[in-house]
Amino acid sequence: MLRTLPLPLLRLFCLAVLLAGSRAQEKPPEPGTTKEDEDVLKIGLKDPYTGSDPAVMAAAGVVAYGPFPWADFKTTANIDTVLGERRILWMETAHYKIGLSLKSVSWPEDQQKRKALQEELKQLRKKLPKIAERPKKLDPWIRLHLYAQRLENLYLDFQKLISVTDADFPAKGKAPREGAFLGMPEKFLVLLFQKKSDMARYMDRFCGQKQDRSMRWYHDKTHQMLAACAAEGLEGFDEAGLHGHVIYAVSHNLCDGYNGYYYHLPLWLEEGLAHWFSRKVSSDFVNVEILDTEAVAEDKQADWPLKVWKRARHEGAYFPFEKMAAWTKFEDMGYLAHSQSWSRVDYLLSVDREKFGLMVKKLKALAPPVGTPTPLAEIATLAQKLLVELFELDGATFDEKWRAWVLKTYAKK
Amino acid sequence: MPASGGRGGVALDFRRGKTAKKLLEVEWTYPVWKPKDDGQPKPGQTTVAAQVEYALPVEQAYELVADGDKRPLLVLRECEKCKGTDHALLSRSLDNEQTVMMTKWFKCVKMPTNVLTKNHPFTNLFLREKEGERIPHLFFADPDGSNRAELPGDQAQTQLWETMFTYLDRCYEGDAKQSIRELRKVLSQYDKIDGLEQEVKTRIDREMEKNGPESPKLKKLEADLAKLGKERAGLKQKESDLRSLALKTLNTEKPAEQEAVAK
Repeated sequence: MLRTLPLPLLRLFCLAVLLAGSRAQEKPPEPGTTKEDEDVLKIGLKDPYTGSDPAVMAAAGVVAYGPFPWADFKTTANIDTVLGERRILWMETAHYKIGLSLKSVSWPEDQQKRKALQEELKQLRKKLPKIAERPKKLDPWIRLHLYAQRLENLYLDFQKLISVTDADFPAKGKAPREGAFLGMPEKFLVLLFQKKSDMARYMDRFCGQKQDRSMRWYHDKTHQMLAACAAEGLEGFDEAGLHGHVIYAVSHNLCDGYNGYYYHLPLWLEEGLAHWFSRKVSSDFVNVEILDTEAVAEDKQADWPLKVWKRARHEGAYFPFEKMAAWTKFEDMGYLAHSQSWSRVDYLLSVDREKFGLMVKKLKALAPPVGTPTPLAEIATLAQKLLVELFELDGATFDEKWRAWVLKTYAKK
Repeated sequence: MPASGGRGGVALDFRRGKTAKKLLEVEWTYPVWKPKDDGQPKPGQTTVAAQVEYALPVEQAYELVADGDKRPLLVLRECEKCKGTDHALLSRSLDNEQTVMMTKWFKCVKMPTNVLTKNHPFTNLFLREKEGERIPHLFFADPDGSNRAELPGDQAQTQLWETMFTYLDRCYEGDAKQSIRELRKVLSQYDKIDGLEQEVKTRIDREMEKNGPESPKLKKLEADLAKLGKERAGLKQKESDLRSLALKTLNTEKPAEQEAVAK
């Protein structure tokens, strides 16, 4: 009988039946059961790739899923209460606690990025064979496992750089320099939100900050370093861009947290190192804000070797080290300062990675300041002294040798 | 755009420049309720029992949301299907510039997806008065909650603007419609300056990379940039003047007191 109805009427009829049905049920659909729901809600809190099997979890490097203690005596359950139940996936690994509400993403179109992702998945599949060799999409659980793997790899890289292992940090107490995590008493924290609003609510409720942009925060009651960002706030960033951004932020935290967060390293060094780690990720995005006062062409902004090389060719077109060593305000650093800081660190690491690690180690071994402001000048002086001792570089020699290296090395890239 | 001399043409770029783009962002606030004291754990424990969240009386909820801001409120409830977008306020298919420009005269507040749960501190802002009543996705109100106007979230843009203008007319001195018309012109002027500025900056960068800081061309380019900077400063002042509609002193006494005054 339905077949005899003209199409518009048929549609109306069907609609009427549907509406009548929904009225009769009077019950909204369960969260996570409709197509439009958030991806985390849809996929659910149970990890489909480990099935919570302890042996598979251990092989995948998963220590625990939420709820678990978070920071400043709060738990992940407290965060869920504020942001909404079942909206965040929680995972604890050997050195991190991670919360993630990112949505599913497709594969990148760029060949180089696809290849890099394929390699990462290959590494992941060795631990989690349930993940398809070529999943159609990267769902939130795959993304969480990927970030766990990336962050643990970064931790290992940082440890290698400063020639330490976990055994060098036996847990002795709850104060900085007494803990098992590069000296910190608790694990490093990472929050990867999809929405800016979740990020802002977390920052306000748990950190007392009105902020919806990416942020690093020190939870000072339990001495934990947090890196938090919201994909929505990183306009235009693709997965690789976000990956590089997270590595940049967490590298900073590892460096700051190592041996206790008592003071900052010289800006050129810490920024340079964070960029050095993050630039290993092939991405078109750079973790820099170009200052209004800076003149930078829009094309090739991510091609730092080329941009640095072009400036290093001309006297006066790059920052002399003396000037870089005096930087104290992050806000004053723009595109040129960041890219050239990265290049200085790139140079030092190419000269002698071990010595660079030793330099970081010595800089982080100063006695904690007591009741005084951060001794920025003292640290800057020590850094310059170490450059002389370890690399035989005073300011002028550093400029000269770095420049010669840039002109020779980056020209080929 | 037709081009003279045979085939071809110039692509028109209708995208906004960086300044306009920044100005065309809704400035959301995301209020959260905080317990008075988060406390320290008892000896031997690693966490504290957090103070249980409870539904605040509606007056307190409005006070917390307004946070001393005298502008009328625009309150949007996120839902699990919104995925971070502002579709309850902004159209997917129509031009949203006017809407966003109007939001600058409101305190824009986003409520989380779980605001409808029983004990959420702000749940009373969305309390249904009658069973079966549709819960609004979006509502406007004075800072104390009076003069509330609700919208379903899938309303027509014209209905949204009509509602917003009623607040602007009632709460502000001056002609908001005229200001918006002028502000849109300012945005286009910003686009022009952004474009010119980027062009000069690109040339400076290229020149610096090619011939270094001693290049004689740089002086002229720097002067061009300084000139554009002056134009920008003038435009910024104009924008600020256009935005500064004065808030009227609204009668914010409680309804009972208002009645008493009326008698």
